[in-house]
Amino acid sequence: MASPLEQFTIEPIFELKIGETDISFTNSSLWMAITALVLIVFMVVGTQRRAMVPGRWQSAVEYFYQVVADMVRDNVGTQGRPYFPFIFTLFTFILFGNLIGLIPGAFTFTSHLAVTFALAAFVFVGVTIIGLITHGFKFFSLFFPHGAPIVSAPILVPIEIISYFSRPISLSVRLFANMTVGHVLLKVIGGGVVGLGSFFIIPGLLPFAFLVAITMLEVMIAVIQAYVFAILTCVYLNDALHLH
Amino acid sequence: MPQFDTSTFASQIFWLVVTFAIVFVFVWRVALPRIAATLEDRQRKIADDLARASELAEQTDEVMAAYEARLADTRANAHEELHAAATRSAAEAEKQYAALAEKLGAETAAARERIAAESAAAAGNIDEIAKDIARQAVERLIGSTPDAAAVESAVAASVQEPTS
Repeated sequence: MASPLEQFTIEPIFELKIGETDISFTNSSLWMAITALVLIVFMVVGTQRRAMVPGRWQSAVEYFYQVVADMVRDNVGTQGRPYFPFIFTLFTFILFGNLIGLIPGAFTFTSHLAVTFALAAFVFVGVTIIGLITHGFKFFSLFFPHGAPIVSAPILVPIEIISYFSRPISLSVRLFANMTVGHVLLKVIGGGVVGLGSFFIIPGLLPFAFLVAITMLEVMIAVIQAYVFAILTCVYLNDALHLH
Repeated sequence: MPQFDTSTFASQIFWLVVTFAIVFVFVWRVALPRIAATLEDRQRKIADDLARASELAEQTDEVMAAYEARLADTRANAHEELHAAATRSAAEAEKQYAALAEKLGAETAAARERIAAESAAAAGNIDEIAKDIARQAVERLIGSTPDAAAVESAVAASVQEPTS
């Protein structure tokens, strides 16, 4: 039986190199491209008619818009308006990547630390730059909680700095770990279904029922993790824009 | 674990940047403006419709108030007219009644006069008839015509007697 980690193997589809760096188009790239395409098609179809009374596709697209717009407004306020397109893309890209990855045989590019860390690092660097541009040196007051006694600074400041720099790690590891573990679990239970089912049909039904339940759970996790990634980005952005 | 195979990192990040950037540009330049415009249009249409509805409701109220005022006016007018007509007809009736009463009074008076005259005339005639009867009775009883003067005095005497 194949290892449950085999599904995460990245295989080049065609080789590509810039200098010494290998940037081959791989199965991961393929599913990123598919995700991008699905997302674009979804939004093209959903914004084509622009009906006063929306149809199903248009409703779905407008629903995404409302959800992300509410998220940005509630967590960042009106100053978050310029970053809305980025957060919308972030949310939908991760969401569609997670969901498309759940299709049997598909590759889940969000289960790779390189991808999630690249996204998290971009958010982290971007938010830090936005904070520095908005507040200048006052931005570093973020590392000292407002109203705390000055004596506590030697303890609080290192803690705040560590917690600040662990943000991209927690953000990326959360998504990567959730996706990886979910898919490993599906694979293991799927292997159980095949193993027990080939032996005799009845004992295979129990892990199969479990597999169905876990798949539904994974769909939920796919949505929740995309939402968490986007909402934490909003929270970090809010910190940078408004400090504490 | 394939996730920690650093040789694939460059390719993953490269294609992530490419695909994400394409989606981002599309979302930023095409999708979101379109959705925002659609939502705004709808919002505006709803607001417009609500404004028009409230305007129409106001107009309806106005028309209703005008109608009510008009109705009240008309009702008052009709009442007045009715009252005037009643007064007029009452006056007319009074006048006619007075005229009739006057006429009837005059006629009654004339009739009374006539009755008095006729009863006076009748009283005069009774003398003559009494004389006649007395003469004829005497003639039948005694066979001779009495003296006119004697009859007259006898009749006068008996008429004047308040007998019976």
